[in-house]
Order: sequence, then structure tokens, then C-alpha cells
Amino acid sequence: MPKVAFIVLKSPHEQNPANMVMRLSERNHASAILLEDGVYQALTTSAADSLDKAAHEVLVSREDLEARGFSASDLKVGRTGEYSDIVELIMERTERTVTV
Amino acid sequence: MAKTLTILWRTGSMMAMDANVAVKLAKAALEKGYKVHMFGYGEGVTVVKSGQNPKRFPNVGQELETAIKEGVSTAVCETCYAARGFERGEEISGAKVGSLTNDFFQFISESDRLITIAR
Repeated sequence: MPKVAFIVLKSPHEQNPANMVMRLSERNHASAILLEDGVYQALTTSAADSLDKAAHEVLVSREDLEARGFSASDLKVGRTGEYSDIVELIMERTERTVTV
Repeated sequence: MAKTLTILWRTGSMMAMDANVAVKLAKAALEKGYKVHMFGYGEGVTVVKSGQNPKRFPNVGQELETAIKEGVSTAVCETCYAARGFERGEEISGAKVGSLTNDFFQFISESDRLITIAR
């Protein structure tokens, strides 16, 4: 099974990405990248728990998180990264990218 | 040989931050030594319109123009462009008004990864 990076752009109020991630991949092959309002997925306990069950790695854009008034200490799941870290995950550590 | 990334974006310049994110990813990839293509489709073609003046918001057209100067090859769908009343010559410097069948497929054929940024 290929390693897949799932890009999430929407908040939990708009979308539950965990269902799609679990349908298309297995946890140990799935990484989630949270950008724009997607960062709220890591700030809301229920959404963060779902994402944690679906993906073994959750990478949150630091820039997009801080633009919304939050910091790494607010995260319920995952870690923050720069855009360069996101590119590295997409290009070197996963084989496919899916925007959910 | 450097790996190649293609970014397909379909969101307009004033709809959300999608286009800004697409350009930031392109610049980050370029800085890491990757070759980068970008293709605008649907409402995304509005990003290459020259002369955008969004006042207090980031000017994604200018940001893309800078990225193109730094080496990001960029094309948009001609049909989508014409459908919005834009004409050739109105695009930012370096952007190509091209097509899905030629430019996008060529971009994909050269790419190791494809990202879609869209609503």
C-alpha cells in the first residue's frame, strides 16, 4: 500500500476528513497535512481524536495556525511545520497526495 | 535530476487563501531545489489576471508573478480564461494561457507528485 499525504483545507465544521483518510489508506501509511482552516482539525478535541486514529502523522502549518491566533501548544494532535517541511513530506516521505 | 512537483489550483484569487497557499508551496519547493509547475483551472485562472489591486489583502497575482520569475512554470486553462471575459495579454508576465490537453498533461507527464489545491 502506498504512503499517502492527505491535504486538508477545511475546518471540522465543513468536513470530517478522517472518514476519507480511513477509506483510502491505513493509519500507518497515512499522513495528514493541515493548511488554512484545516488547522482547526488539530485544535478541536473530537476532530483531533478522529484524525489521530486515521493518520499516523499530522503536520500542521505553523504559519496558518499562527495566522488564526493559535500556537503549537494549542494542538490536540500532531506537530507544526513550515511550508518546506510540508513539501519534504509530499516529495520525499509519501508517494501520493490526496486533497480531501 | 531534481524531482518535479505540479500544483493544480482551482480557487479564485479572492475566494479563499487557496491560491496563496499554492504559491507558498511552489516557492518552498523551488527553494528546496525541486522543479515546479503550476496550472490554474476553473476560477483559478483569475489569479493570473494582471493589475489586481486587493488593497489590504495579499496580492496573490504579484506573488505568483514573483514565483514565475524565480522559476515556477505556470499555465492556465484558455477555455476557463476566455469564459471569464479575459483576453490574451491581460495575464501577468510569464504566465501562459494554455490548455489542459497540452500544458497540464505535459506538466503531469514530467512530474513526480501532483497536488490539487481546491475548495
